[in-house]
Formats: sequence, structure tokens, C-alpha cells
Amino acid sequence: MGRFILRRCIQIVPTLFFVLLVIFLLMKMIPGDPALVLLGPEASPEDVARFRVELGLDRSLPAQFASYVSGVFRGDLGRSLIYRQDVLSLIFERLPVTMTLSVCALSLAVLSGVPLGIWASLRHNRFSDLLITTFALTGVSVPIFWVGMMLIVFFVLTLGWLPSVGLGSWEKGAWDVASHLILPSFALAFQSMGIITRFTRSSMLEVMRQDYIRTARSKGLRDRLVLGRHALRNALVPVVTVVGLQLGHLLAGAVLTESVFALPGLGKLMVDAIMRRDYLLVQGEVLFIAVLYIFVNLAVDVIYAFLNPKIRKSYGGA
Amino acid sequence: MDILEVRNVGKTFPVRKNLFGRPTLELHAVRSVSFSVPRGSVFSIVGESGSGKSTVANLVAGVHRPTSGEILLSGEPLKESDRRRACVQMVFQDPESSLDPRKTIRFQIEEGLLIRGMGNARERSGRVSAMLDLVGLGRDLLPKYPHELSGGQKQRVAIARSLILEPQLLLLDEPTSALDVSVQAQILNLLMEIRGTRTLTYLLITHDLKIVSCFSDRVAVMYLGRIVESGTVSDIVDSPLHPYTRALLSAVPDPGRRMTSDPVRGEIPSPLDPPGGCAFRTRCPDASDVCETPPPRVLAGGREVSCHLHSGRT
Ligand SMILES: Nc1ncnc2c1ncn2[C@@H]1O[C@H](COP(=O)(O)OP(=O)(O)O)[C@@H](O)[C@H]1O
Ligand SMILES: [Mg+2]
Repeated sequence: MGRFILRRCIQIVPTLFFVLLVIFLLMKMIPGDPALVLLGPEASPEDVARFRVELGLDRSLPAQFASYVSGVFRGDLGRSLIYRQDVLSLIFERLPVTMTLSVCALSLAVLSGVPLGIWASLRHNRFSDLLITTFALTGVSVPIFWVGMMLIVFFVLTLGWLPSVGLGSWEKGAWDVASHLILPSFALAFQSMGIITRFTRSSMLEVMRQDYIRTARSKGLRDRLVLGRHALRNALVPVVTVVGLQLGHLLAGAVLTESVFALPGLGKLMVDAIMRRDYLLVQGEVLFIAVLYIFVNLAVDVIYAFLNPKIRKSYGGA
Repeated sequence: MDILEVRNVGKTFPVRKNLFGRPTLELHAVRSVSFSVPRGSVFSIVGESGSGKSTVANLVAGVHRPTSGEILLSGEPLKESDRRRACVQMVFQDPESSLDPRKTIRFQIEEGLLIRGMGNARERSGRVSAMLDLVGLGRDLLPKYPHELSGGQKQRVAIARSLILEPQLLLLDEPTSALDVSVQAQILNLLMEIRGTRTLTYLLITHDLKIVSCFSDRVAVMYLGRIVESGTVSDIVDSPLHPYTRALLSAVPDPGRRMTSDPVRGEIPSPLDPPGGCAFRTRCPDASDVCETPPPRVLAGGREVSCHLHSGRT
């Protein structure tokens, strides 16, 4: 197991390098001279030239890439021009909002998706199965911002049950914070819930067809134990992977959700940075999210391996 | 008394349902099948894939409830609660799917005893070892997982797992068709040897008449959910009456020659829409107009055939 984790960690290095390279080249491909954009059209050519040297833009591409990479490894992602603040510290300031939102949404998606999927599989081709699969399909197909806006229209504007957009404050109590999170979490969770439901259902149906399930029954095992001891264990292992991938998905979805609900998280930061051409902030954030994604995938792989006797064994117990 | 008696058993599966769960399209997987299996004998069911053989086994095992008819085990009608009887156990075709990939070999063999709360840990472990010896596997396999075993080993584990509950009737649903030819013979020999040491009845399901001829006492030939012919092995193999049985037999290859993929000419009709009258008439070399009416069931000297060709004999 230790060897497996080590190998997967080593595999991250080339991935990381590739991510850095792609981000670097993408930023280089954006049309327009960053120095000119940053200084404004009135800047004198001398100022622009001096600024280019300051930013290192006069050096060759490989040299620029090298200094970019070494900066990244020192934790230096540059300074945001609009916020006049270190990019990394800005990211860490906004991260808790996005993390809270994603974790709430993922919990919601898992806690509803997995049981719904199991239930649908046990009622295969019955009415409740149809109902659940339709619901899940809706979740998969409806865009996040549309769900978000419908939720606002219904629960905030029509019923007035929940506060509108923005972040709650702890001074007004836990309920204020929670109530501001309910709608965005649900909007963000809906799609993942649909995916997890569908996947759990098909995984369960697949496993329930296996002969060892029939065998367990004929050995005299009660249905509940057949489900718990043989069916769920086998059916839920692949679900772990899907859930893990959803976490990455949710980070992307958070961008949209935060915009709809005006939450000051990473997504909102990103949209603002793009709108106002804050190059270094965009670059830093893309890198940060990519790295987050890579590590989430690593964690998912390790968990999956841990749950899978085939992999666990081939890397020798410990 | 016969250990198993199947009386006019039918099974339909709903294929499509409307919004309210009413079936709008049904598949008759088994239609009015009757046979009985004397205790201690080997009874075979043969037929092409899709003829309903596995469904019969599932009905006997209690996995499905018959839509019509009745199944008697040692003279007792099989009831809902009897699904849990240890006296009927199954061995399946696909060794990959018959073992739980996430459980050790030891657990899978022992589970039946655990479920029934039989014996203490030492007794159970002794029984497990005895079973391993019986099926010719080493104890070093006990802590392993199914993926570490070969197909033949898995099938031996499946046999050990079934036998540990001391069943009286073992349902063998194509137990060797997923294995290599050399391994097939080993597993068949093993099954034969085991029968020598205890009173055990086999219901053997196969599409391979070669296995049947050297292995069983009585044979039923199934086609599209019906038994078209049944009798002793020598009846069926040496003097087949039904054209379908003849076609199956002529498809049995000489040793060394590959089995043709299509033993009987033409495609098997869809079980959703089988031909009326005699179901085999669309592929039968001897079909005539009379075959559009249901064939008579002709009984003669302990054998039975459903075919118009033989309606004269009694
Ligand atoms: N659970 C089921 N639901 C619907 N149809 C089934 C089910 N089990 C079997 N069938 C259908 O019944 C027919 C007979 O199947 P089966 O008994 O598996 O045949 P065999 O074992 O002879 O190949 C096939 O057409 C199959 O598609
Ligand atoms: Mg079958």
C-alpha cells in the first residue's frame, strides 16, 4: 500500500509540470501586451519598457517559464493588481467559502444520491425507480445557474423563507450562516446528486445480478445481510471514484454558484479577475484549482486502492 | 420417492411495464415443464442458450417463484420460505461472478455454516479444510481473494462452498462451459468422484450433449421454454425421436474438431414471439402443415416426446 501511494505521488510530478506549462503558455497566448494593459493607454513607451523589464517580459520564454516555476515553488504566485495583495494570500482568504460550499454540496449529493440510487435499484422498474431516475436525469441535465435562479425565485422572492444572496454572518448566529448556505449548496449539489444516483443505481443492479448474490441467498442469508455484506460493499466501491471526481466537478460548479448567489469565494474571485484582466490572479487561481484537483484525484485513487483487494494485495499488505 | 418433482411449471417475466407497473409485454421463459428426478441420480437438461434451462434451475432453487405449476422437494411443495433450504445448492456457469470479489476464499466457503450458526470456530475450520481436500485445493488458498485463483480453482471453491451445507440436490448450471477444455474434464471428474462418496442428486444443465452422454441417467431436451423430449440417456443419445434432439446430436463434434457455433440450422426465434403450434417448426427439416397445431405429448416406455411425427406411436 505504501508503495502504491509513493508511486502515485511520483506520478504527480510530470502532471504538475504539464499543468504549469499549459497555464504558462495560455497566459502567453492572451493577445495584448500585459504591461500596456496594466499601465493603461496613456503610459509612455519608456514606462512600458521599464515595466516589461520589471515583470521579466523582456527575457526569453524558457527563462520566463523557469522563473515562473521557481516562483510557484517558493509559494510566490505574484501580486494581484486589482486587490494590491499577494495572490496566494487572497486565494486562502476566499478558499473557506468555496470549500464550505463544496463540502456542503458534496455531502448533500452523497447523502441523497447514494440512498436514492440504492432505493431505485431495489425497486427496479417499479414506479419509485422511474420517479427517482427521472429526478436524477433532471439533475444531470439542468444547468446550475438556472437551478440557482429558480431556487431564488421560489424560496426567496415568492415564499420568503430564506434570505437572499450573500454570506451570512456569525454575529447573527449559526442559523444566519446556515440559511445563506442552503440554496447555493442545493443548487450546486443537484447535478452531482443526479450523477451519483444514476451511478449507484446501475452499480447496484450490476452487482445484484451476480451469482454470488444468488448464492448468498441460497446459503440462507437474510436479504438485509445480503445487501449489507455482499451487495453494498461491492457496489459502492466504484461509487467512491465517482464521488471523488464530483469534488473536482463541484469546484468548477462553485464558480457559477458563487456568481448567482454573490458569495465571495474562489469562483467569484476568478470571475472578477477575468473581467478586470488581473492576469496574475487568474493565473494563480487556475494553478491553485488544478493542483487541488490533482490532489483530490490522488486521494480518491488511494481510497479506491485501499478498498480494492486486487490493488491492495498486489502492493503487499502494509 | 423422487427428490425433485416439477409439475406443469411455467414462468413469465415482465419485459415491459406501463407507468403503473402492469406488464405490457411478457416473456414466457418456461412453459408447462414437468419432470421428476429420482434421489441419487443425475438428471440433465440440455438445449441451446435461451431455451429456459437456467430459469428452471432458478425456480428449483427458489430464486424465482413459478408463475404457474408446482415444485415438490422430497414430496413437499416448495414455499416462499423454502428459498433458504440448505438441501438445494447451486454451482453456476461463470466462476467470475459466482464468488464475491471482496471476500476471502475461507469466508466464502465458511459463510453457509456461519449463517446457520453451525459449530464453533474450530469445527467450522475443520469442515472448511475437509471441503478443500474434497475438491482438491490446498489450504494456502484460504486467505486469498477470488482474483488470485484460476477459473478451475474458482469453480472448485464454488463446489466446496455448496457442498459444505451438505445439500441433497446440487444444481449445476453449465458448471464447465466457461472453462478450458482440459479443466472441464477435471471438474466433471471431480463432480463424479464426489457423488461416489455421498448420496447426492445432480440436476445438470448444459448445452453440451457430449457431457450428458457420459455423465447422466435421464435427460430432458428443452427448446424455447418447453421440454420437447425426455428419457434415459441411451434413449436420447442412441435413438433420438424429436428432430431438435437429432439436430443437437448431429452437432456434437468428433474429438478434436471444433464445435460449430450454430448446431441447428437457422436462428432460434425470439422467445418474445415464438412460433405458434410446434415452436421448432421454423427450423425443423421435417415440418409440415400439421406442425402449426400444438404437438401432442407422446409417452412411450418411460420416454416422452412432443412431436407430430410420433403421434402415431403409443
Ligand atoms: N430475470 C429475467 N427477466 C427477464 N427475462 C429473463 C430473466 N431470466 C431469463 N430471462 C429470459 O428467459 C429466457 C430463458 O433464459 P434462460 O433460462 O437463462 O435460458 P438458458 O439458461 O437456457 O440459456 C431468455 O430469453 C432470457 O432472456
Ligand atoms: Mg443459462
